Amino acid sequence: MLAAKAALNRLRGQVGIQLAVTRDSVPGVVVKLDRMQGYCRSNPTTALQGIPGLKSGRSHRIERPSDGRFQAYGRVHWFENRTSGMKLLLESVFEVLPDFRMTLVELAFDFAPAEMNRKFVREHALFGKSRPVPSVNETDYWGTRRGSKRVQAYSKEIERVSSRAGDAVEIS
Amino acid sequence: MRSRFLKLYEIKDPYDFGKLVEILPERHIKFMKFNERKLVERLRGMGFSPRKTWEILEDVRLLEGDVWATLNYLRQELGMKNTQRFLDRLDTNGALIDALKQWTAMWLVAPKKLGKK
Repeated sequence: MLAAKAALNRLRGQVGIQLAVTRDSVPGVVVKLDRMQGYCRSNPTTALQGIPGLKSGRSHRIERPSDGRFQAYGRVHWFENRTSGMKLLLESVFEVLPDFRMTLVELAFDFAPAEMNRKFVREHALFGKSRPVPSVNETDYWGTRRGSKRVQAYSKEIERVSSRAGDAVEIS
Repeated sequence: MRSRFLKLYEIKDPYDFGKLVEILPERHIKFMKFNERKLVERLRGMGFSPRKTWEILEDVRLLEGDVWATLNYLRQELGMKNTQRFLDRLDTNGALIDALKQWTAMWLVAPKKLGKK
């Protein structure tokens, strides 16, 4: 647990450095992990309960939204550290989850607006064998929904010290 | 990146994110600029007449610098192979690699499995 805590502190420190760079100098491009999805073949609850200091908390099903919105999870189960109050320790969790495999990773490349826009991406970007497909709602796409890789390029508002618009290229 | 992609490059968990620095740039994401001069040289080498070369260049210019569309045209219409040779790298690729390195540095690369020595 101490090792896991130390690792988490180290990770927090690195995140802080990255945020500082983002706020001060506004680099040309910043990479972010937008979404990650994985699965386990067996119920991970027992493995999580095996982590010293981690106690099982509330667990309940999530009812499907009545208005037909996307339901990301069917059930939630909170785990909380007895001493620090931390809700989930990512690094420890991945180590103990039986046969954990990632099934989806979304990376976002946020470019500064001075260097990038959708036109620039359309004209100059190549994404391996992925082909451009028709744009939808001011978002350009490369690759199919069922392909191993899908890229989307769009403009988005980035809230920093001063609010400004930027362009993002997202690989999923 | 979907399951098939992750399986192909053996990215099983976040500890493997470091591999993305080698995998994504150049192979899966890159910013290039089409170089007309290289195309003209190649067309001359292939024995195209100046008139035909000019016609091809006009067709290419209609695509307004769209790199993917231009390469597709050269492959489909002229039967050219290795069309990547007509491209010049843009500086954006360097910034992209730096940003990716910075991000992957946030993730641990050598996991220590609990309960194993």
